[in-house]
Amino acid sequence: MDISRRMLLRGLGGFALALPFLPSLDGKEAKAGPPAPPRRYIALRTEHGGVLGSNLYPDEATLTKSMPYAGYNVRRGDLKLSVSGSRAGLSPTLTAGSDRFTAALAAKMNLIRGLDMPFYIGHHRGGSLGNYKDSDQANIVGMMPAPTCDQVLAWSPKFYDNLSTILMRSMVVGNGKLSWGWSNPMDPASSTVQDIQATDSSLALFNKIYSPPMDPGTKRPPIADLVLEDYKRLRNGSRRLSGDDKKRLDDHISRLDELQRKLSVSASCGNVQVPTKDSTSLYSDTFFREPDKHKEYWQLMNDVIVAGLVCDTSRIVTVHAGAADWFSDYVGDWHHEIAHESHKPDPQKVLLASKQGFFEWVFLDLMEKLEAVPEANGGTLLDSCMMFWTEESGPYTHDPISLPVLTAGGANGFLTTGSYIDYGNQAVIGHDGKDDPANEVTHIGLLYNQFLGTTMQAMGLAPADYEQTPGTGYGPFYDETATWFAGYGKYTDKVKKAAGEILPFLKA
Amino acid sequence: MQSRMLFPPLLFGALVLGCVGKLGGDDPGDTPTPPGPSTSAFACKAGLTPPSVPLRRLSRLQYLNTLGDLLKYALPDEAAAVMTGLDPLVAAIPIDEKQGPSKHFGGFTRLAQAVSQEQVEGSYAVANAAGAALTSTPTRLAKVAGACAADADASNDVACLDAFISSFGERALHRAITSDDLAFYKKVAGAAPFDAADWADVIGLLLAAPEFLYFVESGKDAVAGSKDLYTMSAYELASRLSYHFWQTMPDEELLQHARSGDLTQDAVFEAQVHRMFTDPRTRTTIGSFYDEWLHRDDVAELTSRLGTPAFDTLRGKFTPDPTLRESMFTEIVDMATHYSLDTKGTLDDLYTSRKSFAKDANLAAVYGVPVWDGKGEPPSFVEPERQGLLTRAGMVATGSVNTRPVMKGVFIRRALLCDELPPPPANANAKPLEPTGDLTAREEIAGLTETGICAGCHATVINALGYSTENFDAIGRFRKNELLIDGMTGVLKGMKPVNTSATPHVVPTDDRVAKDSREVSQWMLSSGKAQACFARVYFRFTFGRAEDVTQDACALADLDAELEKGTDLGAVLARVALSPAFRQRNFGE
Repeated sequence: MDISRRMLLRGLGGFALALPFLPSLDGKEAKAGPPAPPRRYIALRTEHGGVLGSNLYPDEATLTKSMPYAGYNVRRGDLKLSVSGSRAGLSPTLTAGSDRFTAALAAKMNLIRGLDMPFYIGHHRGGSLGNYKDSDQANIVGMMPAPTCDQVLAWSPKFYDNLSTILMRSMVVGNGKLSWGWSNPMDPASSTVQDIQATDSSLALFNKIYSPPMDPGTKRPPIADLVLEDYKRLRNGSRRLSGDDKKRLDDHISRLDELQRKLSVSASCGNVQVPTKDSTSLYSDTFFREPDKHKEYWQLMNDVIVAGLVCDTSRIVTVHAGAADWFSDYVGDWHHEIAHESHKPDPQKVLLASKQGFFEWVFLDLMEKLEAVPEANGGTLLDSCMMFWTEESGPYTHDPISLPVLTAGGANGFLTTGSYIDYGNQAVIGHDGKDDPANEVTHIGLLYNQFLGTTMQAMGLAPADYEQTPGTGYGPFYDETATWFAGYGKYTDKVKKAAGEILPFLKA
Repeated sequence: MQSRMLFPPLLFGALVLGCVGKLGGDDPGDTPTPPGPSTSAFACKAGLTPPSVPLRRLSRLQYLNTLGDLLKYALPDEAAAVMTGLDPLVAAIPIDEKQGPSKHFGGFTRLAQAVSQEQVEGSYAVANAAGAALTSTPTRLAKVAGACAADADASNDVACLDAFISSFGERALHRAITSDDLAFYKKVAGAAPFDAADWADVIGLLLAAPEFLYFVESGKDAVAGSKDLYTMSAYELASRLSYHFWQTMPDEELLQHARSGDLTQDAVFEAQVHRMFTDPRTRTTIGSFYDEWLHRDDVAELTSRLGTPAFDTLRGKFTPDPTLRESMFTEIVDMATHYSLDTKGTLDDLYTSRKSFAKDANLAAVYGVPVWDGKGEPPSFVEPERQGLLTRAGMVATGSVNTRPVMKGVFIRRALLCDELPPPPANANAKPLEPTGDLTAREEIAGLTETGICAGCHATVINALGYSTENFDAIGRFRKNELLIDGMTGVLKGMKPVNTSATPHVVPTDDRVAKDSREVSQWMLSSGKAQACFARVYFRFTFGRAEDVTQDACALADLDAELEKGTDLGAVLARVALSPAFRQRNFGE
């Protein structure tokens, strides 16, 4: 097989990865008829929201088609890339250099408007993936923590039907909390839900996803089996332990089981050079005033993420850009002066520049790198992905109405792409914009649970594999009881009943 | 630079800002209910049993301290080098974040008890690497396990290994090694003769053992009349003492008392509590208690706005150093540690002290006092208004142009009085504090929050506590007048006298108007709520779990009563180990 330039993934961090070692590119498989590559799941989340609809979405006039759904008309249109000079874009936020943001890439995206959490959540850390509990302002009686959808996938035998190469069931990347999993993933029923610490070090991530070839001289077996036996010896011995003590030991034992599994992984990425630069080496007191460093930071991280997917040592990625002021040189109190002032003209400009930077240098950069990797079935790595970017809040900070979602990839043909979709019910207003500096109006839409459920089905799971209650999509369902919530009492039974379905316009 | 500092938590933005109620605010049912009093009197009744809590793991700090001490025990002169070699693997073990009823207010890293895949894999990797490092040369192996481990005589290998497992294992597992243990831990080495890899595996196995990573307790004797309640064994008591006061494994003296079993005798136990509490290692631990409790994560770096017009107008000729923020919190810890360990100070001293503990010239300049040398009598503040914890720079600074009465009030209410607050309403984010150059911060906050739906909490239990220190600016300097600075242009448009008087409602029924933070502090003390809250947060820190005010009432009441009596802080901090709760465990489901 020729090793073309396109097939050599060369990262910023100084490592190179020759793609022919990708199992799905193996010539023998191609002769036998290439199987579909595994599906990959990539979720990105940024902070605060606050971007005005006019800066985030294409013109309303592009929504040329509509269909009745859940009691009202939902709308879609084709995503049309506008090119102006050296820039190309779908909206002021979703803009990049025209040499990089091509019509071909735009055709692999979907831009979605009109997805809501039907209760007030404020600042939250896991809600974007279905755990609504870790919120500063949600005030729902009985709200319970739930594992996030990436973790349900990570431990699903349907998603990982073969773990022989998997070193990380999920790459949890970035800063702060986004992914939540079970204390004992092998026994969810007896588990508590806990956050999974993200890594902000591209080098640390690389060390986790890359397994160096085994030294043929190494014969000594690892001691993991005896460590496991030690825990079982205590767990099942005669010493006095409480029932809760035993559960804790069971949790640890399940982790040791996973460790043992990983010790037997025989992944080979070929002769990979270890990265020479780490994302965290860019940190300084002025880091958050230097957009060029942000660009480099995320490119280092994206290189390693793609390497993990190419090597097939992981198939799930969650990225939490857990700070508000990425891609900005603003000096000051971002949270107060920009995020919470975002509907005023000057703060909106700063916010727009920040989100545009994230789109171009994180989301699009990752898309490009995924698209550059060919698969044996003639598609690309991107085509196997369900990739999406969403924000903590909608256009109103703290508020979960009209959460923006940008997707990429078709999940091996499960999804159709190239659409701008608005699920908002134009007859039901959420925020009327009357007291807002930008007069921003939102409309009540479909439930975010339905989107997450759609992503799970795109990964091959059935609703019964992830729904807490049949027909509610992914994640628990809560109704807001506070009347001041802009969505209070506005979610109809038809909208709620639709939550378990695949979102309209998305299924291929 | 620590990435943690780069990514501060987004703290309850609504409370940071204003709270303007309109949307649906006409419904009385929507008005958040202000908090009731915290439990300032704990009802200790006979027969109360502390709740059963699951197996706790060592905190990351405790784990690393223990590893370091074990390495010192095994290989004294090369332990530091071995530990340095483990750094890359240690870095992969997740950091413990503060946890608690509220992580931002009275949360502690000891309460972080989740066990992740990364922790299990990280500690496994460290165990293997430590084993390999301790046995990497015959010389090292001989130092670690004795000459018998490295000599050419295979006939002594089994006895040599048994002796090593017994001594090293006792320290790693925090208990006496049994014959079953010997058989188990040497199984990995196979049959004698043992090579270095065999020894490395044995060490690795011990350092990955459940009793190395967790506080495994089985208890000793049943406590009469209490189902599932047992006293702790001598080894378990040794670990509890050592990990509470020193954050690491027992030393040789404590181990000797564990071995002999006499640590279960009251007199011996009390003597050990006294010895350990007066040991310098306790200072570090008590310092971390105060640091985690009183560190305000919402305060920005004081240099973050250098060069912006408004901040430059505020700071005038004063230039904050990059370390000023941390110096402010170090000063608070130094103050609290001074009164806890160096003098027979009391809780009252924390709230009334007029001494500066600024060891940093930049912070001393904020206070306008000489730098404290860390040893002698600390210098006194110049202005009488600077008195007690509430007026320390770390408690009033924001790193911004404007002060934040709301955040100050929330911190006092939640971290120092242990009161709960309901979440703010949805539209609380709509109107942030924006210096216009016309109004004081207090006037702006009052306008934003003290009408409509927000007033229920802000006007009654939040703002006034923050107003009481409005005589200190956003850098922490004393002021009589507030500069009115245009937030955008930095133009100084005038000044207004500060107003610190307000009704703090330390107790909801107390409608007195406090002149300033000095009276607020006094009322916090006289209400008993400052003492009760101290008891609660120190209980959390000690036991590594959130308190149950009903079931833990006896331990809490004991600490509370001592604080109310004016017992010196050192005695109170040590006393927790003498409580039955410290020496017993509930093994119920």
